[in-house]
Amino acid sequence: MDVLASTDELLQFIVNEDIYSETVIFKTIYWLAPIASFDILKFPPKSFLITARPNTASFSEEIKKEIEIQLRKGLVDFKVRDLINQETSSVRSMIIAKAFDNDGFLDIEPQSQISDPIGFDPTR
Amino acid sequence: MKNIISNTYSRKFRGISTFESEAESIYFLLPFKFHSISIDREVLVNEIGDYLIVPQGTAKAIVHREIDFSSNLYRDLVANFFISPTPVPELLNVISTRYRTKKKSLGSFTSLHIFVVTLRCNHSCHYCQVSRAAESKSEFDISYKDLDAGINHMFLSPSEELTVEFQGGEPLLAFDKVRYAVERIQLLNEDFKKEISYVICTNSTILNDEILLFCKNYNILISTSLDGPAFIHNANRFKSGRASYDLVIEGIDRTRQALGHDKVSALMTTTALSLKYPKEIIDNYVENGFGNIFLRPISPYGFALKNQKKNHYQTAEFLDFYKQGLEHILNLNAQGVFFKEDYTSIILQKILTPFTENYVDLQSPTGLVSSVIVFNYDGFVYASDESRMLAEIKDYTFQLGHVTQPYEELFLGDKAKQILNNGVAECLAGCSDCAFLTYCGADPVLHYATQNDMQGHRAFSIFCKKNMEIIRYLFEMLDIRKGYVESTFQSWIHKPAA
Ligand code: SF4
Repeated sequence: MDVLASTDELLQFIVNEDIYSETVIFKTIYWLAPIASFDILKFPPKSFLITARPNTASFSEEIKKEIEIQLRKGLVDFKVRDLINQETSSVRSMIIAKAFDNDGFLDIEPQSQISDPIGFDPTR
Repeated sequence: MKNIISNTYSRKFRGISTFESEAESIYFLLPFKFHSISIDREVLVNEIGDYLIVPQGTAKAIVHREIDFSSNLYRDLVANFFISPTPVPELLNVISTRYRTKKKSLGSFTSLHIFVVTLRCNHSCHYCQVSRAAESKSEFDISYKDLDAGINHMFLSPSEELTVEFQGGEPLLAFDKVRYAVERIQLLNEDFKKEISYVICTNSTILNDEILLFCKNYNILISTSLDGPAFIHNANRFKSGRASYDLVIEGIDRTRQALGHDKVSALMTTTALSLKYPKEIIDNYVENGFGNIFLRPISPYGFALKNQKKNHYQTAEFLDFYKQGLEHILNLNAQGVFFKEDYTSIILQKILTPFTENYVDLQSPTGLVSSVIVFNYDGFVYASDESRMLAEIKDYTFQLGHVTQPYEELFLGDKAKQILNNGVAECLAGCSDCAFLTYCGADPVLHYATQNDMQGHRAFSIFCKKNMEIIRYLFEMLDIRKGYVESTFQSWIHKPAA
């Protein structure tokens, strides 16, 4: 993330869209709404432009710093969350579907064998 | 499960490679979330509320497959369902069963039925959320017809366990209605055979022998209001004639003598005045023989909003009050006094056990309608106690209809569906990515009341601010003050208050 502009009325950041998706950016700025109002625009060829404007008359130096720190941290954290969500959405659906499968109709079984190192098989 | 075991074979005499982890080159993520709890620590929480407190950056390292297979962390992550050596975890059924246990309240539907038997009251509390009526105005009592209809609805609930709570105003000013309702419910229950418990929420100032004998006969619990020492209680809860505090303490003593020590509980409300006196309030509860306290912020509803000077404060101020109070309570426990804080205990039960309390504010999907319902004195039905408080300032958003309407229209109608749809935290912006989701809730009424939107924006939410900081703080305590604090917390969730 690069800082494009930093004045008392405006902060602008450039974020590479190959690294951070639109979803990740929106989830990050969601939590910053109490300290600034944000606009997100495409910034060709492959970036997003994040513009922050003060909710009050102007930004203080502390708030400007705070926004930059929170943006940097938020983007990384929400990217990690996004990766977890993407990788686990089907397992999560299985967990919930099985949890509420009152009649036991769902046939989802693990694709591996249960470890049985001492050869004890209770079904025999 | 049976198929899998029968497919296995003895490994008794197999080579060493057999016993090496099956996850030599890869592991698979299971759904989990994370939240920073201090500068250098974060907590990982999985789909069923199990947690691990780890150094900052661990979640990122897990996702980037940087966890050493021979490390204890790897084993902890597998054992606690954060990662799996197989694409679908071998114990998927266990995880699903645990998930179902966490959502147990969904299975029973409405259990808490609140009957507002009258709006009359003998107090003028400045934080009262409802517009109390004068003691003599009996037109503010519920009618027998509406009471009957509410009781009939209650027995249509699929829940095997029902709690009937009588509220007001001061419900004992309409004791005839309370008596009628209990006797009718007992009679009908000879056929329905449900587990029914009764609570009367009273200011305890007009309890008499007749009422107490009745409570004893039907095993009715008394829930009273006590805001702390006399100088706080009387300032909050004005009563003409004798001071409220003396009457309440007399009422508590009298009830304990008649019904037993554990049949009386007390609730406090934190006003702007209370904020300065957490220790004094807690000590007052201890002196009066209570084993627990619920440090409860004022509800931003109805008439409570009218007296801003006495009732308004920032969430941060409440959190300071809460933390000071919790610290004091932990000190009391260290001195051998068993005493617990109820909100903390509810959250801790969710964090430290596979179970969850049916506390409406911390339920997702919301407990409105599906756990609690209110039959108001005028026959209208509301999704919760807070919903009827909104109605007192002429906002009927959470009014489900009139008690004379059919059950399906009230409990399964469009209004109920709209409330439930807006009360699933798993689907709400902000909450859906939050590590504390399993311990938290949605609270559409509070968000509607404060943001004019049932879902609400979490970054502006007083509910979120309070819960996020309390839960973070508890994890920080569990991390840095393990030993004694954790064992005290464990005792709170396993031992009932005195
Ligand atoms: S309300 Fe806040 S703390 Fe609670 S789950 Fe939602 S985001 Fe998390």
